[in-house]
Amino acid sequence: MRLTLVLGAGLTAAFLGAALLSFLWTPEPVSGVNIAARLHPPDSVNLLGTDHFGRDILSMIMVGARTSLGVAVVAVAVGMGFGVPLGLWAAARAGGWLDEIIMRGNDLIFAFPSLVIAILITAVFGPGAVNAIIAIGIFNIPVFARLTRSGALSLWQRDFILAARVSGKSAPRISIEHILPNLTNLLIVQGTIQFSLGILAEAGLSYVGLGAQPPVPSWGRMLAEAQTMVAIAPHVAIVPGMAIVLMVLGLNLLGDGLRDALDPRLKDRVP
Amino acid sequence: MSLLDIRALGVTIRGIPVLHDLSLSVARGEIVALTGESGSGKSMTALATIGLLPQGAATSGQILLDGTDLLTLDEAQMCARRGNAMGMVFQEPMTALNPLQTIGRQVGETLRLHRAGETSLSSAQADALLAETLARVGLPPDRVPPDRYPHQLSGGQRQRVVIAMAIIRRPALLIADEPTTALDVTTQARILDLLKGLVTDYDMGLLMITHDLAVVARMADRIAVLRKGEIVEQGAARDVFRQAGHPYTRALFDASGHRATLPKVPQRGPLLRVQDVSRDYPMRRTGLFRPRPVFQALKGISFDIRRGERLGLVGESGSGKSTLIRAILGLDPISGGQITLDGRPVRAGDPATRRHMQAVFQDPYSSFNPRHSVARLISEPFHLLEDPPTGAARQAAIAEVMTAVNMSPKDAEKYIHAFSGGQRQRIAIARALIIRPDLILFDEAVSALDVRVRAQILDLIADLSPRYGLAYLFVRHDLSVVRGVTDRVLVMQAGEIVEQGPTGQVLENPAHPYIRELVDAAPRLPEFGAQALTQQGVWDDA
Repeated sequence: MRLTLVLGAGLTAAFLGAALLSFLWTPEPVSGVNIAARLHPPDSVNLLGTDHFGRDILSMIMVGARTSLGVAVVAVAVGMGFGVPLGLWAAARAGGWLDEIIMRGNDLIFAFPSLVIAILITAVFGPGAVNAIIAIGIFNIPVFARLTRSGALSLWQRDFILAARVSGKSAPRISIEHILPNLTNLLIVQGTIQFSLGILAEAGLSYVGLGAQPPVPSWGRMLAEAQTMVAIAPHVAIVPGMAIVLMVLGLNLLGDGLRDALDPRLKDRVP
Repeated sequence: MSLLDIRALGVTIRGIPVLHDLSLSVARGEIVALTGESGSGKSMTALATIGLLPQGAATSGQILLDGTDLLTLDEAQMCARRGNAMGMVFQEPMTALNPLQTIGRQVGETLRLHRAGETSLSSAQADALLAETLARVGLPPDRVPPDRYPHQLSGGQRQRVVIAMAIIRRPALLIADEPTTALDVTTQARILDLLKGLVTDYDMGLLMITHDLAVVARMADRIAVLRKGEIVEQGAARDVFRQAGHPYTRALFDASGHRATLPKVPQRGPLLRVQDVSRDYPMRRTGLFRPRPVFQALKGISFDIRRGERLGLVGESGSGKSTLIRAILGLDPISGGQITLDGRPVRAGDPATRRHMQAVFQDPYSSFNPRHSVARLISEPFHLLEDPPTGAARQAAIAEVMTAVNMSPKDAEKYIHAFSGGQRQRIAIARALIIRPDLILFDEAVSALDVRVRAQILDLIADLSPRYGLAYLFVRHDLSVVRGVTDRVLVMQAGEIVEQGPTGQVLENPAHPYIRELVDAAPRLPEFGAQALTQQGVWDDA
């Protein structure tokens, strides 16, 4: 039953390791254009073959993982950094006008299709990794705000919160000391899921040319550049496609596994 | 022949034994009470009988219902029997009902499910049976229409719906798992009467599971006392009450009737003064330009608590007790009147008055943050002090209160999940004591505890009060426990104090009809010995 967790953690760790390794070493430099060696199928020299400029695809996947993971991590951090405090704040003032403003603001963001707005933002402010992060991050805020608020609302009903209030603690202090630590499981699981969605969104933005710009390798753009060559060199499209699939699969499995492992109903251990 | 015959039943859950060699029988028209403390396996016996054991459970032995071994049946065969041959009533009527379906539909569901059976009913017959059953459980369709939703009913009415669901097919066996534990005393009495009447009318066997020995005494023909998955004593109710053979049974009886010894203490000057306090809740407007109607939760409450005084507050759910407690603690604002502690008004943002008050809540399982150590939990009220002790002084304070509640100071290093309900309630009292308050509010503080643990906690409370010069307000929904731990009692009904006076006097000679009703409704525990029983008139035919 812990298979999903192990598999998910393994896949995630493999991509993370590859991304970190790419800072120090890649099989070949990613900007090493070698037209003579273009569109080589995978062999012993280029393990995953070469693209239409003769660049080593394995190296590009490794550096591309860096871009994908980096964008997704920061986007999730933006979502958590704004969403969690907003959710805690709304829950502490549940039913008041502040709660209404925060939650209706969330509804407003939710009302727009995220990828379309992300395209709008990057189109207006110019393509690039930073704008992609902002575009994806904004749509993570309401997800975390809602999750935090609903989790916090049920915690506010518990007697230990009443005890803390009897001890004269203020709502912000209770939120940080008592509510937030009891929400960590929830946030870790949701964070993993949003992380995989972030990877997918980044790939989508790069695919339409609004993500990381050349020459920085990115999985989505590799896929976009490969699509005209699918017939003659399928590996050029299959490899980045598989990278996206495996990375997202790994993160989803990790999220599922963590949810099972951290489920309080299945948990019987020291917190 | 018995209707239900449980023979040498054993149940293990993931290899851990929960029931061992349990034999029990229920005949038609008989009420058998299965009693014991929490964790003794009472509910597991019921779930095994109805075939709803949790995953990972393995059974041995036999459960014969009318001669058929239920443990050998498959799920489809069990489904045919559930609702049909045996019905079950659960503890919590709110969660046992679907909030989105009308009560008529939910009660009728059992009929529709079993319509394919040999006694299939026409639609008109089904409706007639539904109306008859609802009327029988005290929900006549002209007064309580079947198209009501559960949230429109009171707790007692909901439990009647659950009973109607269980009996609509006139099952031979009815299993009731703590059917009145979640209800008020007066409601409890009516539901118990209803169950007793149904057993006679329909010649059912009733297996009743309850921890409350007073309820057992009122209802049961036979008693089985369960301890750690084994029946330690079983027999006719009057024999068991007259001469409990097993020391465990005797301990349970002693604890149920336990009264703490309350030392006389000098009471000095007023401490808390509640003057004409009211609390209104605005309700939904009835029209666009009409004023909002208000619901008066508290209607001009006035009383005093003197230093060192032990005051009881009794009232059924909805009487305004919780609103009053929250108002006293300064957690919720009041609409009118004044609450002063030591002459200073109690306000939300004022630690100066609040540091003289603490509270102990009902549920020992939700009153602690599971992620903090006990030391951190019980030192939380230090937040109210201007200059909280640190380092060695803090350690000493923690050790002192832990010792005061008969726990080891070393326990402070552990996390709360390591402790039982009774230990947790001791820790809650330690948390309340640590800033040496003048007043502690005990909000149903012993309601969730087993009788033996409850007796210990009551003793502890009675003992701490003079040692710490402590006044307390002991809030409770029924009168039985209040008797042992309070000097004076207030009785609340519908937001008003309807009677107050010395505890003994109020309970012996209640002036107000409501209190008379409360006193009469409370099931009583017969005292030991045949003489005591006949004197009390419990079994006059003895």
